[in-house]
Amino acid sequence: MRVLIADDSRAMRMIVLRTLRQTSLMIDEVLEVPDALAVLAEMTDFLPDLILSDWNMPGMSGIALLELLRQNGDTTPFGFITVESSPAMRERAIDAGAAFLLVKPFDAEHLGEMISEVVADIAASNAANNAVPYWGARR
Amino acid sequence: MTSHRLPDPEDLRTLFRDLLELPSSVRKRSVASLPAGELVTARYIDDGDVLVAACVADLELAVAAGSALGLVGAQVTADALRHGEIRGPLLDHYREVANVVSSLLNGPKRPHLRLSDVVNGVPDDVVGLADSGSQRQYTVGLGPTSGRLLALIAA
Repeated sequence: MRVLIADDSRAMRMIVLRTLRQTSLMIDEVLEVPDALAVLAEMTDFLPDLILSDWNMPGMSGIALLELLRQNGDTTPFGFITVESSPAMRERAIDAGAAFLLVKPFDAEHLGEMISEVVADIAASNAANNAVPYWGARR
Repeated sequence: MTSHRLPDPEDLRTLFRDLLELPSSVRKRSVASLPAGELVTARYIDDGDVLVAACVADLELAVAAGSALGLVGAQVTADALRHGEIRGPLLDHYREVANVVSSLLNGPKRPHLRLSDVVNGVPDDVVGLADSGSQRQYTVGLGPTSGRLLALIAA
């Protein structure tokens, strides 16, 4: 799995990366970027299987990023790792197409659970559509 | 909508422990006022960009928190304390700590707040908040470091 981490805090990107490594997930490659524009720039080069993004970032916010990706037809699974935890913001995230919203601080168990659910959903969707098995196809 | 509330000491302790992976303690102090000495201020604004809350920390506490989050070396920490201000990567790391603290200021049926910035010293608008709003002071222990943290909320 190729994971793109977007957070303006370098320390938080390190923590997400470290936590990913503590999970039992198969992580092939991780790319860290500091803002939403860098995510957009990497969508065609890095081809992430999963985007983990902060909500509040300088310039474009994480939610604006997600909404823009979906408007452009990009369905890459997208999870928020953020301090934003109100029901209204959680609802807005899910409505925009987020797979999950994980509140900082978080631990490897919760992050692993969230991503595992995303992986399971994609596998089930692929099976239902007779698609190429999990992570075999690129958008 | 209800008004904001000052963070509960146990919630703060849990946040610091989980975020910084350090033995942490937080006690509410009987006196709440702007601490003397070198300070670092985090300002929080609402969705209309109005200052609503602030957290003022001893420099030593801010440096300790930033160092713990970013796994910064002892030399960088010592330099910050010698210069009397937090800056560079250490400031970035403490800004993220302050960002996570905003989760304790938000809650159901409360107006949304977010971190605006983190600055050395205490800006005038935060002094005004201290004069007019609610406040609570804590003694925070992070590993071997202990310091004061003052939380302020507009009335």
